[in-house]
Amino acid sequence: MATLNLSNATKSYGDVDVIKGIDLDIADGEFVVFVGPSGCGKSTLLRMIAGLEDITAGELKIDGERCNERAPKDRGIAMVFQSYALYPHKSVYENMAFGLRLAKRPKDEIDAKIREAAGILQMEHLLERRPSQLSGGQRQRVAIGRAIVRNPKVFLFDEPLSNLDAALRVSMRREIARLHGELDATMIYVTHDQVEAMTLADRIVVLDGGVVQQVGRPMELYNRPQNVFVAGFIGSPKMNFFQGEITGTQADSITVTTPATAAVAVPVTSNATPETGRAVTMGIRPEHLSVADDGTAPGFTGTIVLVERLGDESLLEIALSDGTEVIAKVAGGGSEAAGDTIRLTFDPAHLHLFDADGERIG
Amino acid sequence: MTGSTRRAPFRANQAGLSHYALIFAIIAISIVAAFPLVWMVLSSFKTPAESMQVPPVWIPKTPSLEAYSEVSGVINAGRSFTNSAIIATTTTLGILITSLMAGYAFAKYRFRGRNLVFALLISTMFLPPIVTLIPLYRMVNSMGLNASLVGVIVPNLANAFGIFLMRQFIAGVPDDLIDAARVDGASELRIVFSVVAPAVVPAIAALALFAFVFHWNTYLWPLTILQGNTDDYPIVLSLGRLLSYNRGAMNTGLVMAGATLAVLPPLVLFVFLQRFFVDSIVSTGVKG
Repeated sequence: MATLNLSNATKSYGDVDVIKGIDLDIADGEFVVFVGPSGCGKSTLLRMIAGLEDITAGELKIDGERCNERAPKDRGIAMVFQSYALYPHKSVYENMAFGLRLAKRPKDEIDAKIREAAGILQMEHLLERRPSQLSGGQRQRVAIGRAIVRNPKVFLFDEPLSNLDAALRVSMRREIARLHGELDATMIYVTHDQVEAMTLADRIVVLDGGVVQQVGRPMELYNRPQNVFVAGFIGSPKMNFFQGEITGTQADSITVTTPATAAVAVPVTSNATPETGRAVTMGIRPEHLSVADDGTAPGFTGTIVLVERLGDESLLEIALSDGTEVIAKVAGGGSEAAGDTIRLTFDPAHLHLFDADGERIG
Repeated sequence: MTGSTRRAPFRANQAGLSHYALIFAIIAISIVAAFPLVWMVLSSFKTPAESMQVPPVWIPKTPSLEAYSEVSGVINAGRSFTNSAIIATTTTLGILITSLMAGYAFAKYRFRGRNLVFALLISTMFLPPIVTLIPLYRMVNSMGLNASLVGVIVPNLANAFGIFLMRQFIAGVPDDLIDAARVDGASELRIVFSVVAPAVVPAIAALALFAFVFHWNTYLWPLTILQGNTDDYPIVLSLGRLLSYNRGAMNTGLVMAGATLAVLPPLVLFVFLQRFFVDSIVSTGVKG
């Protein structure tokens, strides 16, 4: 277990900066998830921490000690790869023993550590098998076991569940959460799957274009995204956005008008002092839209293009008169059908407001 | 459905015809290729009279091992075989080690000029060996290694084909596997021999076979560098002495017996490793 600090960490390939000066402090025992779209730099950042990529500029400290120049084996980390990366010619036991043998640990200690890790992961019966004789889930468990026996200060997971099918992914996700609880270790986990991020993380780091967009607890990111990118990335289906402008300002709210909606008073909590006439983006999550019973609540009217019935809920894709497409998540079992005209309403307290630069103002 | 069931027998017949044509072609080519080998083995059991008979005798009437016992009387077969084994084995080991290391570097390291250096290396594969014979001789001679087995072996401890073959196979080894070994604390040498090598065993076996057979059979370079030091002659050079023995009436049976003995070790090796040999050709699209 250890703390980990990145200060102004930068990675460049020639003239191209892929990681642009990241500052991040990870506490002892914390489970931090790096999340972002493909190419955002999350795996590169993890590999920089592991020592598999050089850090072009900035500093990495693990447990307070600078690690930029240290080889991966000397950083006190263990890594679990997406492809498992098990040595195909070695048995499960030998896979787990390889690193310890290289570290010249005594035979008894190696054996004890392997059996302990195998016990934690319930795979004692697999120790003599080759990786080719294991299922995907079992292989991933061995890869985690190989990491555990190293007794690392920091566990690094690089999209460890991406190669598994949906059901196995759910069970392995729970297993990793259980493992974190048992080992109480510092863990950094990379994924593009926001469900994994939301369910596993103590804190989520949202990355885009090599820049940290927001760091926070899962519900903090969901309830108060700092910018349009985070608002659109966290949540499934993604948040609906409306382009509009400020048509009035009050002490605790801003009146926003969009082509789709009438003037709406949006509560403002930030210190921003928006001016009338400025362009803004208004966001509302699909689950915060409801099918209207009356016309008094703020909302809009559109035509249903597609209905996706998921059982307990349905997703409605709605086209508005100005061409905007909106997704609404409503209770399942309704009689909505494509082609119907529908009015949806929302509570202004659930609205998110972003300025022209995409930064949150309310 | 009906259409497909009507067409199916037609396709089956076509496949059948081409299948038989292929088998016929394989048998015909195999006979042509195997003929000299079979003729060599059969001739080694003939008496001198049968060897010279016209029309030729195909199967010896009274098979004799006389020629085999005579071989040892003419050349020091044991010494020659030992020399061949030393040359072929040492060179093969050297090629395997250098090819693995260089192939790994070309496949997995990113460095400036990598592709240019690799292209230069590959281009040496297209040089006829005769072109490099004199410069190589002068180099080895200047090192004082002429007329010795070391001189035969040293210039062949690395070769472009081996590096090319290994690079192609090692490129297919997942980077994650190598990264996992680095995280585990393995040095680059350890990664090459403990992680990468076991992942490319078929290529190693194929290269071992290529190298062993080539250097067992190599003639021109040992002849040039050994400078008549017959004690260090490999079996292939010693066979020449069988040809010149009893020049008045050449004993074909004797030469064929010597050649049969000489071909046995690479043949046995090929039988054991032929699966890897075929795999490597299929995988790289390279003709050996």
